Amino acid sequence: MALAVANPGFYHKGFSFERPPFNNSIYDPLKITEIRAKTAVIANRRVYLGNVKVFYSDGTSRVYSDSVFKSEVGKFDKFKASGKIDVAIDDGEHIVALAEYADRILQFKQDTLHILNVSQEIEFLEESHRYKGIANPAAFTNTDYGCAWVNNSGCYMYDGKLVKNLLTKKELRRIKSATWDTFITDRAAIGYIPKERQLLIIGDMGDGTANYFDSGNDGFTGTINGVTDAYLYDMVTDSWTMIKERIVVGNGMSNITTDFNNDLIYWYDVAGNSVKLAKWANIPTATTVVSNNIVLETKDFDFGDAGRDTFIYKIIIQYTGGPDLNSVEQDLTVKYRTNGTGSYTAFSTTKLDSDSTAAQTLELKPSSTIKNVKSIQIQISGTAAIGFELNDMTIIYREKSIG
Amino acid sequence: MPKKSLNINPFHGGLSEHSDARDIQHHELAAVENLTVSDIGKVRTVGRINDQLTITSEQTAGSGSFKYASDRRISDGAESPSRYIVQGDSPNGVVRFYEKKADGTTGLANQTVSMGGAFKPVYYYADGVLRIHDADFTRNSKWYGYVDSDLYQERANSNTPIHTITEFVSTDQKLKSFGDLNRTFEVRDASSANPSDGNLSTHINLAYWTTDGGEWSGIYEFGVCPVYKGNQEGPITESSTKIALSEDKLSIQLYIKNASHSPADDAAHDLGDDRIIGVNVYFRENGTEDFYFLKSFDLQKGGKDGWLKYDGSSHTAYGIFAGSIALNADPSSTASYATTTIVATITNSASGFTGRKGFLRVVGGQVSPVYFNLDSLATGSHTVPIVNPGPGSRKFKLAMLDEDFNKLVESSERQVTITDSGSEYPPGYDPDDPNDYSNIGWDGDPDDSTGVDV
Repeated sequence: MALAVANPGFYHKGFSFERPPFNNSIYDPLKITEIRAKTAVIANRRVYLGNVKVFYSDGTSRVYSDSVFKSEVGKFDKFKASGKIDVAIDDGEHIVALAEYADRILQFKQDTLHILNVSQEIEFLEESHRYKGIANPAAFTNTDYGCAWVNNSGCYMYDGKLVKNLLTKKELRRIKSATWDTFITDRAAIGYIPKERQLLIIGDMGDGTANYFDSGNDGFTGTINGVTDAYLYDMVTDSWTMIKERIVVGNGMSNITTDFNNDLIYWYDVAGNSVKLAKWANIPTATTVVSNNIVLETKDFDFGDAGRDTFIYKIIIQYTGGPDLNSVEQDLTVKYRTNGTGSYTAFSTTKLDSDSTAAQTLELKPSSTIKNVKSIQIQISGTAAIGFELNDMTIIYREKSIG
Repeated sequence: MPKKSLNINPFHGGLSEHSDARDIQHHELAAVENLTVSDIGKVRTVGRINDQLTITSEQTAGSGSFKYASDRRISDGAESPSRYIVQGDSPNGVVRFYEKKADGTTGLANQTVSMGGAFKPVYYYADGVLRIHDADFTRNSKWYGYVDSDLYQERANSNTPIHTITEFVSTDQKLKSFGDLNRTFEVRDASSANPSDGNLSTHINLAYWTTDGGEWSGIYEFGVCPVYKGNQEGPITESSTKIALSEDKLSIQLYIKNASHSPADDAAHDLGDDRIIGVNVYFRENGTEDFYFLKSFDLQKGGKDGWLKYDGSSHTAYGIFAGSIALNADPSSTASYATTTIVATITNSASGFTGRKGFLRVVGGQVSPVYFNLDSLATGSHTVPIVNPGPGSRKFKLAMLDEDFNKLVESSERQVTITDSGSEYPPGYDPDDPNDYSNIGWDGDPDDSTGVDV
């Protein structure tokens, strides 16, 4: 007994055709049977695959490192040879990643960014930007305000109209190019913290080598094994801060995404065939697993007249410390230097070390009045409790008369 | 000079270490480490990374994490909005899912996707399906999504599916042909018998038969394509069988070899890929290159007639008419232009006609032919209303047609003498209306009727 199902659902009832329907559609042979891609993005109900290996129905295959293949509309597994999009080929670069924002596809190559307009049936190249490519697919992220990415020249944001370098403000660079170039490796990553509208930039995710971030290995930059540095960019205040030895990456981390609650997360590898899911906490909890040392250096204040000698009497600081938790003890020292040079000198033996959660006001005086200086720069450094806040600093000074 | 104070606040200009520290803005900082300046008017300790979860896995740097949301829950397949963070265990070729259910609980889902070996993950998600590629081009691209297929809905059983697949499925993304899926296809002449047990060793049988009066003339070939979820057509698989037709009308019926399913068994799809939801049939004339679309078969609802369970050992003769149709008597009145009836007697000894409908075609009346709806093609008598033709010796003839007006059987001619009723015109005829009833004066010979070949 052999079972089957028949359609139409009556015995010996057929679909009848009086004549061959030559007006019907012609079978379109599926010449591409499979595509494997290094990057993919969805836009306008299509998937765009970049840097691909295409398998053909005749058994051959070919790698197109400069090409994008788009699917048919709403058919995310089906690709045709006619869906191939070439922007720039044989240019010595290959496609690293594809991103989408505002009816545009950003085609990141290693050195060059091509922006394709995909709002119409036929995609067309809208702009190309030299030196704005990325080295790996984790070096871009999508935000609700545009697409952001990093390379060793800068950190960029495309808002659908313009590409802006976030490292500059009013055409002035804020982080030294040498500093940035050293920080950003080919394994840099960027992630978005939606709730804070901040970008977290990690210079090195690891290279897949076990213990890469341990002392003695190439990725190790600090004092704590498996922990690395980052920069944090705040889109609201348009400001940068550095995060030093505070990003746990173990043997290496994944690309950065967000989690169910739109918090920044990534996976990282640890010893013992284990992987941890790490999540960014905007309000930190106390731990000695990462560095709790902070550094703050102010502008070198010349009191509005760089040529005039000034006497500095004291500074008044309003701050909040916090209780000792998990061996993280509030212990900050305030120092100064004058005339923009030299090493910093402590104001006094008084420290910002209150373990109270109430606001504190401290007067810090130098061992003797600082006389005849053109400028002063304040530094606060040491261990900060998780609740540390600096509210104000006030310098009490007197300008020497011009005589 | 009096003492003065300089207040240093706010700080939200953040780091500006490129320029000389004396020339940066008042609210900027020459150095700032592990502090955040995002709160206007104060500086505080920057956030940090907290561990959320530890799983047994491995992680290669640079890729592997992906987030998506689904209307389905991986852990039990329930229709419940759920969110996922994907972890790609590159060295071991496994994709894992960290799940957050609608009730807020989280945990590692009980399903994984195997890539078959070490890989470098690339993901995209659309229409409820996660696709996983290998950026090293080594592993087959994968398709992971929920299949909710009520296959082969049986019309005779209140449209109950014969096989249901309702589960998350991991398979190759490639749209494979039936050949790729090791499924065979053949074209079968079913003029005298439906596919046999032997025929059903083939997975897909396209049964065909012909009736006269069509325009299929030549030698024809057929091919079938799987239709995958998303209405995505796969490559064609051709049959080597070629059929010769001559002015024929062609009828086709699709047979798919079927395992014995307990409907909701989530057993493997009979056609080799759980994503298949249809079969497209194409044809071409022998010697030509292009295949033309002929018919799409929906593997779920199956059109208005649905699907039918078929047994190749016992159903081969089912539905094939075996019997006769006869006019055993003259119309109940033989007066010219009389509104009367004629009785058709059907004898059908074949099984499998339950639910079938059709038509009786009556030739010989004043209006000829007339079609009479049959609610059954089984043995029985049917009284058909007709209007007699004008007086004289007239021929009457019957044919039984199926739902598509394919002739199943016809009667022999019956000679009837129509007597003159004295009425000059048939009922309702208006001699003053030039557009009315043009058929008057027809001699009643079925062979000369209005183009209908009986």
